[in-house]
Amino acid sequence: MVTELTTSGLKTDEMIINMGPQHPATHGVLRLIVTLDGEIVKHTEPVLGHLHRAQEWQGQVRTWFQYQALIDRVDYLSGMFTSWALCRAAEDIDGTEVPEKAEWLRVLVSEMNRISSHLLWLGTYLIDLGAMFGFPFYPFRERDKLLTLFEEIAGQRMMFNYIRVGGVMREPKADWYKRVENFTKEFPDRVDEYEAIVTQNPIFLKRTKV
Amino acid sequence: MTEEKPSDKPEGKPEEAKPAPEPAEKPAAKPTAEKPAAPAVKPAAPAAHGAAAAPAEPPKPLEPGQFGQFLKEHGIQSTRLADSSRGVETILLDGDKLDAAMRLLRHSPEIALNYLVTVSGVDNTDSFDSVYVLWSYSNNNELIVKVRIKKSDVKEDGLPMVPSISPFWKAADWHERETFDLVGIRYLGHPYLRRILNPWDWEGYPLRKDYKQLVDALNDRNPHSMR
Repeated sequence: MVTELTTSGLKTDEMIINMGPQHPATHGVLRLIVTLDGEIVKHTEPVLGHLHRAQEWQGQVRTWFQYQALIDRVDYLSGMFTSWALCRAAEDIDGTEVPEKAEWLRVLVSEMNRISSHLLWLGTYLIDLGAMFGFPFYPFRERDKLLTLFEEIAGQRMMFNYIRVGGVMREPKADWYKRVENFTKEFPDRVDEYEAIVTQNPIFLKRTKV
Repeated sequence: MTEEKPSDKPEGKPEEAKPAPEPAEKPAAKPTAEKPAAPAVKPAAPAAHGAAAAPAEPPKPLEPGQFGQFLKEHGIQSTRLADSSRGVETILLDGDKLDAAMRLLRHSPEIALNYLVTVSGVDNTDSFDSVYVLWSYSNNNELIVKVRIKKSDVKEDGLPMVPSISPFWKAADWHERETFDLVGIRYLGHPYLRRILNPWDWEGYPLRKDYKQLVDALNDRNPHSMR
């Protein structure tokens, strides 16, 4: 098909280009089949299956406790939430009562997980915008603190397997709470820092504002 | 560099013994402290909160079975199934009524189930379910709609067929493709019903109970394996 561009009067042919399955900016494995007309993307077909690991099927052929180790990997940035979802489903079926303290711990670690996940988003988003050095590491600095806290209670920095059917894996030490508290105290200042460095950055504004 | 210090400080050993009871009480104390606080705040700022709180108050959680009742009033018959474990109403619809019912649930302002959480499929041993989970942010309501197709009604070498809702509900597009891919339910009227996760030439529907995996990936009995 030949399409005429009104602006330049140039004639271009449509071209189908395969982008991926690996691309430095895709973060996960995504393949795009892109139909281009000159520099205009006419149509895109995403091919998603490269990250598909048949989690549902694996859940069907495993026991709850075997599956718990896998469920963290559904979203590797928010393992707490996915294990919580599995545990709540299992507790519903089982009728297990969760101690109140464990429920609060679940809320606490999930919130921390959410923050660390957002921080990773911010850092990688900046990398995608072209900020290769410097700012992306500001959010990663705080994320690393959270991951260290997770490591202490769960033994892992990403695939926590911390929330278990009926409660949580173990109770943190008293010192741990203190450090979480310290983190919450210093974090607002850090957010101000990100704001100063990101949202007032002319390059960032130029590349994100419509 | 300076920000490393605050995180190092609390590691100081002398403090370790003291805060032990504190965190234990803190989470427990929160619910009691927060709940009385919430109503106390509202009357303090009636002008600002009144407008926002007013629409949130009247649409209380509907009584169980009310969505089925609502559909019945509009001439759509449904069967009520057992509620989900969290008490979400679950109804069974005929395939040919699905389209009208979904439009009604989505667009009528008093129901406003206008957020499609997911579409999925279930292989019961004698039937297939196409499951739609709807959510309303404005009313905080949830509804699960199921369309059930008996396996005895499915033609040999055919697929169970359910009308697609993606022509008027774009969010269902990929979910229906996924259900088609994994459970093998054909959504009639879908604009582009093609496998989404598996390779395009994959055979069979992996989440069906009778699915046989041609390649035994776990035990690696595939003669063509590179391992």
